[in-house]
Amino acid sequence: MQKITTAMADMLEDELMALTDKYLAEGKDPGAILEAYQAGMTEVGKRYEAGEYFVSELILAGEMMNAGGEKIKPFLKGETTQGPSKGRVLIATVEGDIHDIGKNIAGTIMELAGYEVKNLGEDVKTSVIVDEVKSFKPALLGLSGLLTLAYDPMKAVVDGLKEAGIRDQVKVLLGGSQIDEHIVKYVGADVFANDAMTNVSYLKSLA
Amino acid sequence: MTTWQEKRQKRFERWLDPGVPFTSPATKADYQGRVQRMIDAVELKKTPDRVPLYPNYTYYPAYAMGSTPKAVMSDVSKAVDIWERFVKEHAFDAFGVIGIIAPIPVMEALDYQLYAWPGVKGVPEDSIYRYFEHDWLENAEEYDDLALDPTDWWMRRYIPRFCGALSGFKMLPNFTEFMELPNLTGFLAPFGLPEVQESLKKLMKIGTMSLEWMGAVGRLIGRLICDGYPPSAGGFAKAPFDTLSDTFRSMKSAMLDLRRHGDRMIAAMETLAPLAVKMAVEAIDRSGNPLVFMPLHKGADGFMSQAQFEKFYWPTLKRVFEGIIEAGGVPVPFAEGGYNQRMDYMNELPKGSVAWMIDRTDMAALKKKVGDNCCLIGNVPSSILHAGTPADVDAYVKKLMEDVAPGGGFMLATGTVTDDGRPEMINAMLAAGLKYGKY
Repeated sequence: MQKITTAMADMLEDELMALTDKYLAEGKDPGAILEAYQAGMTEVGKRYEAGEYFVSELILAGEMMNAGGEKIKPFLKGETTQGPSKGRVLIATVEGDIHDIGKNIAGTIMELAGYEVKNLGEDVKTSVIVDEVKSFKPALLGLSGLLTLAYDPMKAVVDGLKEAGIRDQVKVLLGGSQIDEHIVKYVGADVFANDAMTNVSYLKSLA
Repeated sequence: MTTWQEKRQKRFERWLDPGVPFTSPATKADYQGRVQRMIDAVELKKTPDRVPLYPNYTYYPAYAMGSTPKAVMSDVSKAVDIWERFVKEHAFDAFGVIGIIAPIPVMEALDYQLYAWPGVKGVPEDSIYRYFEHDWLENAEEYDDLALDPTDWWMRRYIPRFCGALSGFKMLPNFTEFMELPNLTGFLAPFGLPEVQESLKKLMKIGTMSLEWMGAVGRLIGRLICDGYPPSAGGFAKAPFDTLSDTFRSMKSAMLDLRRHGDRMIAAMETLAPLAVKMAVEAIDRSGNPLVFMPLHKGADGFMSQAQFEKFYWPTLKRVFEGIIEAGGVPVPFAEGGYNQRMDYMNELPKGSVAWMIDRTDMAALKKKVGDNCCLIGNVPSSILHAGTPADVDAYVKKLMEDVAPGGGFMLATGTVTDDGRPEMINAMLAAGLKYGKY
């Protein structure tokens, strides 16, 4: 199984797919194959953290995971290899903004670090985010936006949490290249991140 | 042989003296003062009389003058009126290029799929336009077709996909077949097809609409120049990687291609680089303004590793820079986001040949590293402009001037493109620029 993990970690897409087909055909344990995939993903996350991998590797790793998962799924028979979650995170790009790349990378990295991440998508209405905080009860709410037009919708979400009386139940993190300490203060958030690793270290600091 | 410096000197002379009937000797002096200020900052040969105030906005004038993007995108007379008043009421040394004000009626008639505008596809009524990245290639093999014959690929594959009104173009013949007798009717027959004729009819109508719009904008630019105000740029170009990623393939597919189809991408970019130079140089020939605005996207810190930047992004971008410089033009790349890890590359171009617009890069560090080699433009953050006070803006500009203005080679601008914005903050930035920018 180490070959699967290595092929995933080294971005050897063709080799990974061939190995998966071979192992499944040979009747090897599908749960073990999936675990080897996940170990490969963890290694990808480490290499991203070390600055060795970037966006292209994260996207390709995600594609390989999906393609491999499709092959393995029919053999799994309801088994699950999902480990225990370290905590819940809710992420969304705020109303009026449709940029998704940074948010999705942040989500992937937090998942790889063991958190349960719910991604509400882009251009998400304030009321939807507030309702989801109420029902999903995340430890961290990540609000994303690239446009300067996102500043006020971010503020509206925090104001909405205050009105609902749940502001103290969730930490609010802002993400986006135009976000800094001025905007954290303006929005009434807790912290900001301009890269995906900051999210993870902040989550670790909450534990 | 003429050197690039000699060619550029000729362009600077034409920029300074564009042969227009200035409204008065005073407006001529104003115009030439503003242009000379920018030339001095770019060339790094001497300090200007003060730091130029360079514009970096799209639809800010509409908001600032109490209108909306939708209103100016719908009616050229409104756009022209607002821009004229905005330019004359603000102390910028140049005015932002009005070409970004795209007419909604033209985009509607074109059934233009690349953008959405206020009121459609989820864009709020009071917002600006929205750009959609989409993978317009059917597969990565199309990079080979693009590299082989870019015009043919553009005309018969790309255009009919992103312009609904021009979908008939996919049935056009290959233009390089139009020669000698055996191909005569074979080439011409597709023009008889109803789908092709329908697209051509629509294109003629859209052309007329565009000509009217461009005429009004062109007359405005001429009037503003005669009244003493130079445009901020005369040409436009993109990094070849961004054309692949933003324009053709989408971020996700392009990022996957880096590992799956790297050689194909490089071949396509090598085709695109001289086309970018040609587009820029033809535009500065027409406009007489040698500055070429180049918004950069996927080369920023965080998108690519240094090795990927060096292999995929920089070589063809550098070739575009060199081509424009060689023709006497001045590339003005906009390094949107952070370029803290890319500073060294900025020193690879000749001294005084490129003026970099900077967003989130550390300006003081950048000045130390590349300030002897290139002009820097920037970088009042949108966060302060949005969430701060006029006093915060004043303090930021004061510190920025202390860090970056000494010795020249600096223009003051907002770090990011100003769409909406609080007029009192932009005005505070301009006032601080005049206050602290004197040499």
